[in-house]
Amino acid sequence: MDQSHIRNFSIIAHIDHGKSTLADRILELTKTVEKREMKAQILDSMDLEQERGITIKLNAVQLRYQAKNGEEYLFHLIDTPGHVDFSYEVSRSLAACEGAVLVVDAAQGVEAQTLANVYLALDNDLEIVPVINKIDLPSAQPDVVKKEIEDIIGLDCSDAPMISAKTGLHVEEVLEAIVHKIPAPKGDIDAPLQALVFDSLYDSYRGVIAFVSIKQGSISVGDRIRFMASKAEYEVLEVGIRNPKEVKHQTLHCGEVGWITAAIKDIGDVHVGDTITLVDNPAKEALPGYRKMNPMVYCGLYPIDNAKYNDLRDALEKLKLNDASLQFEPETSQALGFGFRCGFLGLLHMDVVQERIEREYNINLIATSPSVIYHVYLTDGTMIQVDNPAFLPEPQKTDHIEEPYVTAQIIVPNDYVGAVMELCQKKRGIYQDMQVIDDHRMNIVYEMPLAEIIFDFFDRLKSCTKGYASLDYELSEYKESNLVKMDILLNGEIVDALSIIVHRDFAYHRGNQMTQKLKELIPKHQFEIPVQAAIGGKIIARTNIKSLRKNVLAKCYGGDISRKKKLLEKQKEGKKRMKSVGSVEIPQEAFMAVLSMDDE
Amino acid sequence: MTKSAYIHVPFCKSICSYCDFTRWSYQDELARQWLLRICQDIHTEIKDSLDTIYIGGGTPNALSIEQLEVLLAALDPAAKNVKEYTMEANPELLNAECIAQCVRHGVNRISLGVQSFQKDLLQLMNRKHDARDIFEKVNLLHESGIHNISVDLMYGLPGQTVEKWKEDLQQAVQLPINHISLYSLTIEENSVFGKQGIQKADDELEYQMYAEAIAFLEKHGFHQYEIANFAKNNTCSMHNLTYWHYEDFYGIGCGASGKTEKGRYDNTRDLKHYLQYGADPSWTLLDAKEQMFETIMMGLRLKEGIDLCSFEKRYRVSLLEQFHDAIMKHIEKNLVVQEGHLKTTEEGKFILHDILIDFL
Repeated sequence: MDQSHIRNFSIIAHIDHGKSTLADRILELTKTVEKREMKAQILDSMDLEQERGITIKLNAVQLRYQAKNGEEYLFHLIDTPGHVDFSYEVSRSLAACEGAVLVVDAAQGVEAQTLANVYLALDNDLEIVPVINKIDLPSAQPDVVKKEIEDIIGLDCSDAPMISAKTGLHVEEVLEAIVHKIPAPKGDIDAPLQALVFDSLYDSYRGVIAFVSIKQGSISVGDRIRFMASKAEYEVLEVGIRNPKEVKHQTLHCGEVGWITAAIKDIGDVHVGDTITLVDNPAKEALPGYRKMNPMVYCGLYPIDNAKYNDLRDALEKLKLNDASLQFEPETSQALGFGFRCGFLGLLHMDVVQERIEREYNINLIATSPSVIYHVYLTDGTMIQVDNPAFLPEPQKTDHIEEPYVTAQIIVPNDYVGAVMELCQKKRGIYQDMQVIDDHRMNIVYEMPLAEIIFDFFDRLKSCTKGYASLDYELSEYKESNLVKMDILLNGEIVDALSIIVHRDFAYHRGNQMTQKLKELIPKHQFEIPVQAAIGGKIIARTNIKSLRKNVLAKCYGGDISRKKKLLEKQKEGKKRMKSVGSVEIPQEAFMAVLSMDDE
Repeated sequence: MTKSAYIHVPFCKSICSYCDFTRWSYQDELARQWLLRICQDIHTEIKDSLDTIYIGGGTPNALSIEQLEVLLAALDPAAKNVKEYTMEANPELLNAECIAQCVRHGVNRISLGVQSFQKDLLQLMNRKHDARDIFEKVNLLHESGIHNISVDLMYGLPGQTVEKWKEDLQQAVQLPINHISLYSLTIEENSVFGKQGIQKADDELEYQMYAEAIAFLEKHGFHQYEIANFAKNNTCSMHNLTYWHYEDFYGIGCGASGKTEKGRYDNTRDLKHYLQYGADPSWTLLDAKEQMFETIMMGLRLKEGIDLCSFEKRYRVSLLEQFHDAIMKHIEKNLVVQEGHLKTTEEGKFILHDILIDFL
């Protein structure tokens, strides 16, 4: 296919604005997927994605479109995740494209992630095609939304397609706009190969499968290739595209988007964002945009069954392969034994990884409460980074501690501005700015400690605005805070996995909440268990889990045997899901207690 | 050879708030059809004459005099050489005629559903008698020739205090009775309490009430021989000992359960099904290991505990070896071996449920 007839694009949108549904309609319209094979949201292939209705991993699909001018075009559609945690994945997929279809809900209008995604697309010099979706909704206000896009983002919406991805109305116009507005890839097919790796996954038979966008030159079966960042060299065994089924080709040409395999067994050789070139005829430089995404949230993951430690490492390695932002390294806890310190982009990312390990690898996990990275300046002038509260140095050795702050943009209807500001204030936020978006919505900007955001900020924001607020944030800077480590003692002994870092002003309150919550979550034992919160040896909160005084079946006659035995069996099962630390049996949920505290 | 039978009468005049047993509001016609079935079951199931018979419910004396007569008559052959023949009864429904009828058929023990002497608590439980009924009916039983009398009492009830509980115990020991059963309230999902969302009392309060009761009853001559049962002059319930010794027994009727050496069975709990298709028991077959556990689960409820010799004779393995780990975990503090028996300590008795989990 002539390079001028190729179009590479992504679809970007705020969560739930209909991105995956539009992708489904496009697949149908281009007859890429037969209608009978069509299941809703076909690009969301992970079980977890379909269950939660979110896109986590991106997918690249090739489709052929017969345009109204009579010519056939080759489209590469790269689906992107919509959640704020996965902005790196969005940026990777955008780097593989020349244009982006911006989907905006005709009833909801511009939201925080609409803006965030538009900025990412503009960073990548993409042509943006605005599309107004859900115009079939009774509450749709397409003209208002169009004006919003023009005012806030500055995109011309005069001929933006007004569609309903759900019913398929006017979706054809989107395809035409892609043909006419998004430029063809510019690369030179005769120049040395530059292929951008934008995703990868591991197949136990074929090794790493790398997803690539050919920016310049071409790649064929049998070529000797080199990964420019990792310097690893391989011989290409297979190349191909997805439609969305895998189809093998002999060559991928400049402008095409597909996959390659090269019997790559070492996962570490393939970095997302790296450039592939030919050994014999190498490109002078790698493509820009190889950005290492750093995790923002850390937690410890431990197998409940210690024997599963190696399985857990295996699972993490496999997951890391197509999730470049996941980081992990071995860690030991006195309470929990051997496990891993894992770094994530955000809480949803953490949740998804945990759930995939439990589900796909069948390992029961204990996750410790999440932490951000603190910069700890010691009295000797050095700085260390701490992502595990248990390793915070002694206060005597600490000069001061800095914590990461983010700039948070919250778009919210006017009625809830007060509630949102109150919440931000309570979470140690510093007011920055406020802009009017339209007649009934404001954009509020706060600078806030990331640690407060990752706890329960999003849930609270949703509940105090009846779900109307949208949030986006990016790391701003590290700032000094009056932070202390709070230890939790059970039965007089510190349980390292329960330690958290808190602001001194909130320590007393948090300590009380934490001990109360643990009292609720830890079942009574045959002895009394003091639950204490302490800062540097000083007890700041205390409660007791009273001893179990009586636990005996009220009566047990001939007819009771069956169900009383079932009762015992059920309790025995429950015990298996607990971790014994010293003499205390602690249920899984207790390690996440800090996340489920009621603030009021 | 099976020497005991439990007969279930699934009818009540009113439904108690804590109960989720198999029971229906009494209707004359329903009871008549049920009677046809159960008499047939009695004749086909029970092959020998028995040592103990227990008619429970439901409320056996919710049946009319005529219906009860048919039931008792059907049991006559089985009761020929019976040693203990118990019937449960609600005090307000008991009368001289009914008692005389029972005595005529060999019933020699009555278990009275007293639960409490307090008006408010009885009302809460939807029990229809009052304190006066209890004293009158116990006396009536003695006059009519039944001297082996047990009463049930409940604690851990909503709003019940330790003080109120002591008053109940005080009244109970003044009755001319020889046996008392104490039950802490359990909230069953399908009971009225369960549906009302009533919470179980705190285990601390339950502990106090239970400990109080044990001490008080001991002082008044009622010795605890099982977790929930107390007897004067060693008049333990022979029938219930069958359960705790994990011996075989027949379960007759809708909602009854039985045991053979192969395993246990639970008859249908659906009265309509029973009337149409009979008891239709669902079986739980048990291998030796499961039977051993159940022997322990039942046996540790007894003060005397489990006889190590008879356990070994029955299963051909030593109890102490087979359950070595679980026993070592609890020995001395919660469990002891004394005079050839494995039993709970005074302390262990209160948390038997926790101990048993380690034997599973």
